[in-house]
Amino acid sequence: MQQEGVNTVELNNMLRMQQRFDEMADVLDLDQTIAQQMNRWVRDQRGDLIRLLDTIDDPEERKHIYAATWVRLKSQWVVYNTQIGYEIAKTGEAKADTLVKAATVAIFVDAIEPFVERHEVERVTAHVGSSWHDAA
Amino acid sequence: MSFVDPQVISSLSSLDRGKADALPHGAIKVDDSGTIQLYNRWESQLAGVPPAAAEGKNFFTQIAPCTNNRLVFGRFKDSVASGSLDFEIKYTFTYKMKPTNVTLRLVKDPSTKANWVFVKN
Repeated sequence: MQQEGVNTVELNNMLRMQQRFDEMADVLDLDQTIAQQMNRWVRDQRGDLIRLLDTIDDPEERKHIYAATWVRLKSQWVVYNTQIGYEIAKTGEAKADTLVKAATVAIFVDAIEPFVERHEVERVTAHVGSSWHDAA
Repeated sequence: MSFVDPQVISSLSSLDRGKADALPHGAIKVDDSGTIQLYNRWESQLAGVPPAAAEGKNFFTQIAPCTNNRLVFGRFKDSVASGSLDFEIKYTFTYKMKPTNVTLRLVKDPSTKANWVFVKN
């Protein structure tokens, strides 16, 4: 079912996420409790994204929000990815929930990337950077 | 015991595209900045990136951003700078692919000064 304010292409991208999560859960052979927790986490993340796009229906504003969301998610993935590296270095393996979060966030990045314009990303990072300097 | 055949390591100077494509693991030749000069068939299939699309790009920042941290790229740069590149590390790739456990071996060919990244899952 198409949601008001979200076009078909966007919605298809969102719906593919659940299928890709299921594949990921199989690959990682998640135990049932972790799988349920992570599935809930993925659904919450997906719901937040759809609600965001549904709420902001101004096309120009959306361009900025796509870029801001991409920066947020990419930054999240950088953090999880580094955490995975150090978990492996310290214990020999990464924790399942860190792997799921990293891979899921990467799926979101992939899904919204087609709608992201480079100059909007530059606007967002400049915006965030200038805010930090102002705050300091 | 490394997954890379010692004979491969001892004959890096003659590892051309044909030989690299025949290897049962990934083989990526990079310069000192990480720019890809050769991207073999196995790695191309694992990552879903054609060699022509990978070659010329930076392995650590553009093709395998999972490795863009101090554990891998930082250690690569430090080792290249000190002329002692030869280490192996376990990692899990998660970026735009199913989580994939891999082992990376990074080594410099002392005769040609080329750097090689070998990947096995």
